[in-house]
Amino acid sequence: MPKTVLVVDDDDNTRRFLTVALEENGYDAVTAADGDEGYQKIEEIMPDLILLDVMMPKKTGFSLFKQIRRKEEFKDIPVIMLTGVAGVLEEDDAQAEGDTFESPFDSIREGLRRGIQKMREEGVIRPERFIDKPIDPEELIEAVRGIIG
Amino acid sequence: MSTPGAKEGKARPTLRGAMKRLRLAWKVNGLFLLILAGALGISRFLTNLDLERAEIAAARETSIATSERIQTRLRGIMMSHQANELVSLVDRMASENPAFRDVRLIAHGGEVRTSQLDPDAGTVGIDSWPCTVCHITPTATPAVTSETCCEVLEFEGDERALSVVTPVIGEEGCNSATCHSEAQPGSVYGILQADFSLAHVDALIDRQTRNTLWAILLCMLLGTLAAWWMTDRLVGRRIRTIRAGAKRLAEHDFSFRFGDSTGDGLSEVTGVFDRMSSELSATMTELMSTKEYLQAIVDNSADIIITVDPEGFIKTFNPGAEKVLGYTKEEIVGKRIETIFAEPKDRDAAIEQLENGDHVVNYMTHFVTKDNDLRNVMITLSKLIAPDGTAMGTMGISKDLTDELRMQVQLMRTKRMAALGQAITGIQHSIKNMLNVMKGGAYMVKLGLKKDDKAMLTEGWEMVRGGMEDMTQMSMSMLDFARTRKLKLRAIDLGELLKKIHSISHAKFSDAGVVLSLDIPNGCPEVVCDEDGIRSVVMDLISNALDACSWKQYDPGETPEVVMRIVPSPGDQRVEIQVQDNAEGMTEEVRKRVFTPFFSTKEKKGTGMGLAVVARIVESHEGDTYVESAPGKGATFRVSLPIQGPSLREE
Repeated sequence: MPKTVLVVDDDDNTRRFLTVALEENGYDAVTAADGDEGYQKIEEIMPDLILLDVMMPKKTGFSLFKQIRRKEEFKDIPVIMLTGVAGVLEEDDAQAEGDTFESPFDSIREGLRRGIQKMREEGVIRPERFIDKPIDPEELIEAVRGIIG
Repeated sequence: MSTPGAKEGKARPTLRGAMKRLRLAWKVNGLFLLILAGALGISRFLTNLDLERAEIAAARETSIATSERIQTRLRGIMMSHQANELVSLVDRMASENPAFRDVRLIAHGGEVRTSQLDPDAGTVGIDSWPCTVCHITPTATPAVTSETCCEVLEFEGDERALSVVTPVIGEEGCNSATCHSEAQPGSVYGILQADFSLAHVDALIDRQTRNTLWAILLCMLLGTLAAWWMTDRLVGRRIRTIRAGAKRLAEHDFSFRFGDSTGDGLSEVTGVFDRMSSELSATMTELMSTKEYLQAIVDNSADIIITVDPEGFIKTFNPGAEKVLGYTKEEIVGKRIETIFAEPKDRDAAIEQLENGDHVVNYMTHFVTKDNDLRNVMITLSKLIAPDGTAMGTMGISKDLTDELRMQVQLMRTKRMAALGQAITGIQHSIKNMLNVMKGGAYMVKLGLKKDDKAMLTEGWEMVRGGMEDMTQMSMSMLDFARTRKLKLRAIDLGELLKKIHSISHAKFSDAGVVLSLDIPNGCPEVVCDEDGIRSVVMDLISNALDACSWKQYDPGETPEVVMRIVPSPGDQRVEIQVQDNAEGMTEEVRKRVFTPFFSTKEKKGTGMGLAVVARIVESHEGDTYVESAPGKGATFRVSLPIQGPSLREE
């Protein structure tokens, strides 16, 4: 029985090519266009893995992620977060500080760092993986395969 | 009572001082001597007066006694009609009394006369004289009286005589007279008049009068001297001191005090003088300190403070002005004020503005320094008006903004760099999203080719093409944003501009079911700005509002509306353009970020550049952009522009 992957992304094209790539590689793909719809789909189908876009209007990927992790029956579903921000985790681990050049990324990175920090403090286990946009579908499939086989 | 000489002597023990003291001592002592002499003279004169009065009384007594004696003797003589005896009697009497001058017997038997005053009169025989009692007319003779009386007679040559008139009373045997046989004993039948010279008494009176005159003169002289001395001592000297004090006061020496404690009228004056002096001193001290304080403000101010007379010549030039403009006060005062204006026309324009009001506030212009450097200054001009209302010229307080402006330009550059950084990251973000789609599309193209699936290939290709189109569009809007267009500034009527925009756009709004309305007040001022720039600002704002309106689900009966409004605020020389919609409004978070480049709430629509471009254009006009909004309350975008246009102009 093929494994089911839920794709939560507000961008139609991204949902489309991720679906194509997943199905091409033998997974069932289910999509949702925003956080609320995503949560609804999780409840409906109990996916084996979730591909979750961070930057979404209304409900961000992080709030949906926390919602999943707090819920006992969903907290073990592996999540790959799709971000537009490069190297967030690496920098987070290195505790990079003293940036002098302020850019919107700084605030986004800072937001991510705080989000991750908060997740840790709240006992929320971090996502299995972050993958940067632009997404290379083949690389993504590799990652999915690495987690759920 | 100390003398002024002694005082001065103490101060300056010189020969002149000693001489002065001596002279003064002589003056004072001499005066005492004179007063003493005068007093002696007066007392002497008064004694004399008494003596002379007694002498006159004595002369009178003697005259009366002599006259009565003559009369007694005469009576017998007359009875006997012995004329010779009468004459010798008169002569004897005259020799006995040196004052005796003349005697007349007026009787029935005739008059006997002998005279010392007129020796030539001689003695007239008694028989040759008619009886005056019987025959002489009453007017020619003294009235017959029964009492002895005296009278003073005056003769030629100021001679005076005391005339004593005694009645001759008839006795027994008198009847023997020839023609007067009817005469009865006891009746008055003649008078004896004896004159005594008053020359002696007159001489005494003359001397007395002279003495009196001299005494009066002396007293007047002494009185004058005493008065002079007293005046000088009590008033003159002190008035001189007051004068000296007043002079010192006039020379602004307020330390002078009389300290007069005599308590008389003058000391009241000097007291008033002292009080005035100390009050003046206090006032002057206060005035000086106020003046010094004001001067210190002017001197220590870093601002350029210059006053100019009504003819346009520099009158004062403070150290702040010296420092900024490089001229010393000495070399610039008296020169024309235009010397320091880079554009003398600017000064004329400012003065013209000043004519219409009391002040010209924050007028931006350029000064030129001694070394020909340009300084950006913000000048505030005020009229200088004397208390009586006459114009004294103008005062300008100018702030040298050159460095500040340079820093502002620097800051703007820094801000621009930051904005550039934001833009780059924003662009990167957008590119990543587009690349994401294109990468996905490319994957599908590859897959379609591999599987010979034309539908997938086409779909993938469409995604790649869409991404390319998005990128093209983004690069276009980036060009819009990045273009550093030189502002074509001119004064335009914003009301007219909004009307034009309204006429171009209202059809598009009507098609979308949105009402576009105008709210323009009368007399809205012309604003110096770049018309194309401001037009694109307003166009962007209303198109944004139109989008907002089209996303909202309006209640039935509610009309989507966008209002373009002009709100002048004359106080701060700005005017505001407002674009108000009644759409959904926005959260505080969104409100804060609307002007950030690449920020968009429109998901796949728009580039997130529109409002950033708006802010950019407004900023280049030195204007400000604000948004007022709350969820469900619609939004009002406000663009505030300076009426005079931007002051900062980069070369």
